[in-house]
Amino acid sequence: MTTLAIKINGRAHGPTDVSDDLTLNDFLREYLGMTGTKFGCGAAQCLSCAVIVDNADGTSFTSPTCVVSAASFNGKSIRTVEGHAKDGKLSALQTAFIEKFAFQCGYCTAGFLNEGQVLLERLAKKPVARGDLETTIVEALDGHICRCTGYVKYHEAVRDVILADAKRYLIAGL
Amino acid sequence: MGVGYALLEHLPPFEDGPGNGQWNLGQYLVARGSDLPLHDLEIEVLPPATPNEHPKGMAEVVMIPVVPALLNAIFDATGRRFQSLPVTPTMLKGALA
Repeated sequence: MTTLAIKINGRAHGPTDVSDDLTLNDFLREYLGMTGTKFGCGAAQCLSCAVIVDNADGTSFTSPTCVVSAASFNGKSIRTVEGHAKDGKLSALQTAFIEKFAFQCGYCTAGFLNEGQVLLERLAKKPVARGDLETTIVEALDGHICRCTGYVKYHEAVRDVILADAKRYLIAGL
Repeated sequence: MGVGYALLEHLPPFEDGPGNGQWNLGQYLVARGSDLPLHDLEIEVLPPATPNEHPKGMAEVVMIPVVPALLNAIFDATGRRFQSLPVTPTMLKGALA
């Protein structure tokens, strides 16, 4: 058993004792009932289970949860799909996913949403040129597997959010 | 899904393939975003044949034309007809050699 204290979507959980081999995916889904985070391949290959991990320096990255122990997130701060909407209002990326009809079965959606959000926050700090945007989006989302959509609507949704606020996400004049 | 069927999925039958129950995404290759021309794809939604037509499911049926479309594109580009799936990069390099 290991002690786990973790902040999820801004709310502190624990400290609580968890088994060493409990995955973060099982902790979220089975212990906390937060089933927005999915379980896909179980081998960190599809990233449908990915969550956002927030570093102390303000940067963030996504991590699979299926093969990673909950205990390894002790002291960490993470965000899940349940944390994107604020006061019942969907985020810009969530709205774009719906308007673009970006997903069909929805199983990969939480992973794509988290990855897309991390990309938006990264671009807000470090914008790219318009000419590099398409490649930047493809590379950012590439680890995520979707079997339904052919990816193009996810791609368009992320691009739409960026172009709608180009001053924030793109280098001016390029 | 159709791209995977045409270009990526090598699925031997029974115990030599996914029938052994041990396959995951390491063996069963699924097309990723970088496998597709995402910048240039246009999706066209056809209007219903009549205004009061009921919605219908499409499901995997729509995958059927993707394979001949891709193989015709390969024929157009290389002059080679391939008779088996998947058409892998190795096979394409062989055709171009």
